[in-house]
Amino acid sequence: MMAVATLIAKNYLPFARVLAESLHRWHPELPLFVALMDEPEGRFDPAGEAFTVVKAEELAIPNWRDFCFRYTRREALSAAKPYLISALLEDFENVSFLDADMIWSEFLNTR
Amino acid sequence: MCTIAAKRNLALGRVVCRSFQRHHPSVPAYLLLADRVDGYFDPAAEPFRMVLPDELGMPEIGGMSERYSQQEFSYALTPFLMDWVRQQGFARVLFLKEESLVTGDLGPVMDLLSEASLLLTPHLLRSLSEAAREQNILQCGTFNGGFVGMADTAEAVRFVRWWQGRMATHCHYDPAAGMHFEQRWLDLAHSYVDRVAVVRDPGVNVAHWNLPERVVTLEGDAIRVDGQPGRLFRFSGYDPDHPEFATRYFTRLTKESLGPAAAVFARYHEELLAAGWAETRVWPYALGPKGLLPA
Repeated sequence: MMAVATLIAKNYLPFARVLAESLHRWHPELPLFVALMDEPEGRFDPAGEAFTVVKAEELAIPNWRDFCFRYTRREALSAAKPYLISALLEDFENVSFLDADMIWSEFLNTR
Repeated sequence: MCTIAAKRNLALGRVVCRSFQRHHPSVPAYLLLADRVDGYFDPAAEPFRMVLPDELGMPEIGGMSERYSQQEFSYALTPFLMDWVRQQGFARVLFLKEESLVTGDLGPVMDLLSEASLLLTPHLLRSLSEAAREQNILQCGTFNGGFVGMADTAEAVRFVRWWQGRMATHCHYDPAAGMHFEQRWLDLAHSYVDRVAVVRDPGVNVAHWNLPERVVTLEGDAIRVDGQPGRLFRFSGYDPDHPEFATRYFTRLTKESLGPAAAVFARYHEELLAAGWAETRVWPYALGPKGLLPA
């Protein structure tokens, strides 16, 4: 079973929603995990999204608050990538990481 | 097999060609002299077939020697020479940078070209504990420019000709601009060529950038690296005037810290001296920027 994953801060939430919609148009069976290197701060309800929100503290980043302090938003998002992939590999056979600013436009297995 | 040297590095060229022919006596070795002979030596008496830049018949080379330093010019000629050698009728071409010693059979490595168009060697074969040397490799390029193989395939020729185009103008040392002479351009090979073979044999391209991780052992005259036959050692920056260091680029690798690999460096040292290093190193560079002193 494959999981699809992306990483955002909450200013990129609309991008993740567009990615989710396009991905699920072609692949409703694929779970999308969106790791949030940020806090919702009551601005949106993670439970109401069409994807599973992964909290930063679930990524097994050692000292993740310190990690966020050392890095800019963009750096922290990039640096968290291998942690997100390895966290999902605990439960899934394959993980595809996609940048949030994408749309899915075809079947993954179409040749 | 082919290599490139200016006159001052002729002893290095002799050593790489002789050591190659010791293991591959029937394969011709070409040396492109990125310089003029000017009567300093007799090309007919050398252990290689000498070619001059003009003899390659490639017009792009025309102004290059005036734009480039001696080192830049030598490096920039690599894809021109490889393509020229291929055109002499060879199905496979191996380029070796002049500061190399062939210590074993390269045949098994070259055989990768039966399935591939290009043959490249990564500087590192496994991750390091510290980032610093990896960052250095990321600036220099993943693949080492001292060992490049090509097969006579359309995609290899297309790649090498693209590389020639870059070498006409972009063979400088400027890591921040993405340039490390001819070498960093090789990082694009995987993007442009379908069939790139990556040499993962630890006995190839053993040099200061990977010696801390490779275990060199000697069994009589035979050299083994990580238990495999030692095939090709590289001596980037080796200075025979300072044999206590593996390279002039840094001092952390010394004769003492090299362990058994020090014997390979000692062998290289002897071969360089026997090949006339002391005589050739002072031969002047005849090309270079016009109106300026040669580098």
